[in-house]
Amino acid sequence: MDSKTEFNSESNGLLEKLLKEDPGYNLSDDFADKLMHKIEIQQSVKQNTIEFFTVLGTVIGILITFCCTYYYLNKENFIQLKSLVFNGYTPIIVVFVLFIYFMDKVMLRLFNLLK
Amino acid sequence: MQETNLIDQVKRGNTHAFRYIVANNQKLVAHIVGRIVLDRDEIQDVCQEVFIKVYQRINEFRGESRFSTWIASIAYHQCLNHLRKKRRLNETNIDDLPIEHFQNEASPDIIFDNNETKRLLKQIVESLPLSYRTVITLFYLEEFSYAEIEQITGMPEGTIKSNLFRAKAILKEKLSNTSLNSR
Repeated sequence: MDSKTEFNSESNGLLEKLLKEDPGYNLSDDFADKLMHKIEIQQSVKQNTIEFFTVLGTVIGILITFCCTYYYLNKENFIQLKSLVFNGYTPIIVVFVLFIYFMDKVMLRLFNLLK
Repeated sequence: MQETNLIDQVKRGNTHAFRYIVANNQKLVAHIVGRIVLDRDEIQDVCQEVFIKVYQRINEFRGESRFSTWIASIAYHQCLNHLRKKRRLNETNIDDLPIEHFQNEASPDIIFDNNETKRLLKQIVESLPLSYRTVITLFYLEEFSYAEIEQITGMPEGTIKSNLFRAKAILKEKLSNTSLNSR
């Protein structure tokens, strides 16, 4: 029997035994903690984003309903109302309020969790 | 607590129960990810992505297979996605690798007897084509059946058997060559 044949006949069981041994791909001890922290961040951001867009959608819905009702009841004065709302500082104030609300609801909580 | 209970708890939103699921399965995931991704710096991140996906999709688990099979399937596909992203799916053919890669200074008498041989075998396994090292890992290391490996990878059973046979033949040949070369 040459060396190679000898190797083949003896090696099968040993090879299988070796293949069953732990290859040493270990994760860090705090893997689960880091993972749970990441999951909590994702959950929180997801929840807060949903909350923000729900409130935003509700406000926009109420405004649209109000405008439609006003237009239906008082067509003549609607243009005046429109110019009152869209001229001046009103749009800037609305965007600013939404920005603050978004920062408070989503971004600040995200930053706190990332600390 | 039993695994089915833990799964139910997580489905009901108990993140604390998920921590136990992670602890029970992190070795399985680390082995699969380690063998497929290979890059040690990326193993931790990919494992995290796997468990996040498990958490997000746990409601889809219906108990039709073992939970470990389901997790292994997610880990396998996540690894493939990761490799695709990195455009590394092009396999390095084992025959293209320089033979020096597999040579060591070990005496043939102590082959299989020391850590150097284990290290060498690990190196050879890691240089196998992806499908070979996947089936080797799932079959020997994690002791999944052919049917379970089929569920995890989507490979037909015949392909799994032939990949396993070829992988073992390559491993034996390379180890044998190393042994003979070092005589």
